[in-house]
Amino acid sequence: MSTLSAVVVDAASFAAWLFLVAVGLTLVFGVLRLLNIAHGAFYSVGAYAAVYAIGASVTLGWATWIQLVAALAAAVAIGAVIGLLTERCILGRLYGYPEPLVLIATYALFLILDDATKLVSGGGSLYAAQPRDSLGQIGIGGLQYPVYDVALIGVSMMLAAIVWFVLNRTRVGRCVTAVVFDSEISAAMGIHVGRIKTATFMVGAALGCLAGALTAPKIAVSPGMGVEVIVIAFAVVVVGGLGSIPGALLGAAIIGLARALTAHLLPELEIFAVYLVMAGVLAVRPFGLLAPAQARRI
Amino acid sequence: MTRRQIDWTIATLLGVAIAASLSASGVPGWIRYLGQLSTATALTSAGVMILLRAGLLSFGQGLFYFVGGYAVALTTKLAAITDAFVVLLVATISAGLVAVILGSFLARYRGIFFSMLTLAVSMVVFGIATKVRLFGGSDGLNIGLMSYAGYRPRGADAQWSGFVFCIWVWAAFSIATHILLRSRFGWLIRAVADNEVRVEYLGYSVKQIVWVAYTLAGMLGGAGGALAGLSARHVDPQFAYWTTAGDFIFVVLLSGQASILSPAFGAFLLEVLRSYASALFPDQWQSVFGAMMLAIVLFLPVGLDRLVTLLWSMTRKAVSRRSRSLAGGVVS
Amino acid sequence: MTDLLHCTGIQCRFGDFVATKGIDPSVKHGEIVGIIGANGAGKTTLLNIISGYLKPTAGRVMFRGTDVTGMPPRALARRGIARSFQVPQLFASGTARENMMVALSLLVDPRTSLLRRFSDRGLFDKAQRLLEDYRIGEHADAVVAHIPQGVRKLLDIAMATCASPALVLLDEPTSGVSVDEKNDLIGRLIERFRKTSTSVIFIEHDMEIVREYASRVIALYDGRIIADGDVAEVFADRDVVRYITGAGVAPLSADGCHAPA
Repeated sequence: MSTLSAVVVDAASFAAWLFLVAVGLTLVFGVLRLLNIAHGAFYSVGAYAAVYAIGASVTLGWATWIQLVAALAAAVAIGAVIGLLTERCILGRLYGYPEPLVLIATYALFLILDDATKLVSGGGSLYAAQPRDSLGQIGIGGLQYPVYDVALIGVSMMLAAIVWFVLNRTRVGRCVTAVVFDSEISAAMGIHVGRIKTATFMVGAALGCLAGALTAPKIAVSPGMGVEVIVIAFAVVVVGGLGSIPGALLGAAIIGLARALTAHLLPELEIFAVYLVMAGVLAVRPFGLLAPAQARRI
Repeated sequence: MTRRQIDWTIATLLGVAIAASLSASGVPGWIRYLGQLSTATALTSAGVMILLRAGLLSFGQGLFYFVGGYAVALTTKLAAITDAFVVLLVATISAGLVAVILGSFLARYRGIFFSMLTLAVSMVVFGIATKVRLFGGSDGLNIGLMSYAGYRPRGADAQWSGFVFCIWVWAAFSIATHILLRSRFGWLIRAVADNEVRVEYLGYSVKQIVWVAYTLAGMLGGAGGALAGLSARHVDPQFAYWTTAGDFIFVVLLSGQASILSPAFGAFLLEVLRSYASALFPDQWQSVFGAMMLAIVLFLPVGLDRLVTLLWSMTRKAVSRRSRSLAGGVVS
Repeated sequence: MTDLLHCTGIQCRFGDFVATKGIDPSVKHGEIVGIIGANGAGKTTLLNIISGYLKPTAGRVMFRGTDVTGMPPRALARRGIARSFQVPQLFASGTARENMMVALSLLVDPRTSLLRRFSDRGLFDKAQRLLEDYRIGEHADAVVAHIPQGVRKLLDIAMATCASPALVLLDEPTSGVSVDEKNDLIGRLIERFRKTSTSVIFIEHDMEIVREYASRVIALYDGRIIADGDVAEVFADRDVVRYITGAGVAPLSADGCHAPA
């Protein structure tokens, strides 16, 4: 019984994290049609921002919830600024370029941002565990979990709800959906495709930083941590279908569950769970579970 | 009735190899070592170039570099074989086999999928390699001195022979690749990037072409990894890390993909840059590379070799125009 | 004698949309069949099925008496079904001659020749001759991305048909070609194929051209064949007049309209 509840909590917790890191990536792909490798770097920038914000708040003696708000605000602000600069100065100039070149550009950006975090932090590991520690533990099914980790599940679900609401129930969201569907026709209909793209990239970058900031209290924040994140985020997104938000949710849920199951039943397979699920899904559906249909070419 | 013509690419390759072998004992050791490392990078980057000609950006060529390097280390360690030719063969074939297996799955993918899946595979292997005792964990493995078909050089001779071996392996593999690229199959690889539908309607399977190209790139990567292992006399899991693959991409981005000479030129430039950048900015050379890559993508996306060919064809046109106008003058 | 191409109950469904609803077109040796129909009638879908690009959800395609249903285009190309495209499918980074050379070396020469040198005199001359046959030799050295649409159309057809196929499928060969060149182009093509008694299926929106060059006409409407037979017979058919050609006035032409059919 306790194994079951442990699997469920672990699965939910891991799935929540996966959704956090993947949602920005898939959103950006959907609208801009580019896979942003630098998303992994945004994640680590966000984590560093959170570490410094929490550190400062703790020194100032602020309450836990203010520490968290400060961390998230710092991360989102930095993400939005980096996103704006990146899209305006670099990626915006590459629309229409061959895919490999754009991918290389985002990789180059990753290298630069990763080194920048190293330069700022000095290269060692940093911690920001205070808010997580001070929130204490909660018992579920006979096991103790940090309240922070459980709360993240809620945060992730809330984020999914917000993204869904914005895309489906607001004017701006419908414009974004239209651009995802066909950017040329959207432009012809009078939608500012350029602005939508810039704004989406800013939101995507902010989401990447937010994911890093939310994770920071749980981990040792160190340079190079973005690499694993981009690979895993891609796996999540590709299992669900590149560019689909429900797909990201589905991919996160499946991989989260698979990882939790292997962690409890076949621990030696745990680190491969993500890739095994990806390989399995791709073998059956080469472009993911909720991949949109391909348009006819001839 | 084909007239035998001198292939200038092959002539250049042979010329460079001969010149390098003759001057090997004369040049300073560090230049020789840079040259030797460049041969490894050049071959692996040639694989990246082949795939890029098919429109595919592989972020996973580090994997084959890894397979090649570890094949050398493990054959010398476990089978006590020290013959450079044998271990090179083992490395190339192992990498080819790995590529055949992975290619069966990857060959259906294009674009972002191909790039990211190759990246994922090599990162998984990196993750495994850091934990496996046989592979020496994250410290890697050392490689002893090599023999060359019975000849067992020691000391300075060993360094000299290592260099000459690498140079000639590079030349031989490059010539083979060049012959392949100038063949009809070479054009077919390009055709895949241009128009897959047409290739299918001309009777060929795009998937098979990509598979073959991927395997060739893998073998080149394996040979490159073997040369890297032999040169540094050490291999570690970092070979499979994505930034290693990123270096090969950098080479092709820098040099362009006009000819098999391009990645060789780019590789040498990379090694020189790396040694300067890591001396000048010890902790920031990644971002130096990143900034250069961004600059190239933004301002010179065709690569340096296009500039060279452009200048070359401009001078040739100018020359032929002048000679034509001279000839015209005679006729009229 | 059996038909060269014989289809039975061809059906193709994309999700809820049925593009072809169980049709049985066939072609005899040496026939020139024109396919007419409005956009969305299922014309290109039919060519996609016959040439193997799409697998029909039901029905079979028999070619020279063997079942070729579901074979990929590369297998059918080798068996003698050639296909040209509404939007020319070319290798945009190469010159017209290089495109022709690739087509020749892949379709005509055996697989073992794949490792032969590409820039080979024989191949070069053969490609040049073919381009001149189609009167586009002057564009041989131009990069395909920069040559006019009419030339691209011809190059596309020349590449597809260079291995003297038994059946040629032409998807709107005259779309995007200027009005004055149109007749000349299709006339030359049909003459070529008549000479070698190659069977042809061509999709065409210009009814004058169909009237002039087809030996038989198939009219498609909403995924069904509504008329199939002699040119005069089909054009006199009430349904054809009602749904496709209009009330006997000047035939509708949809030139330059690239909306997917």
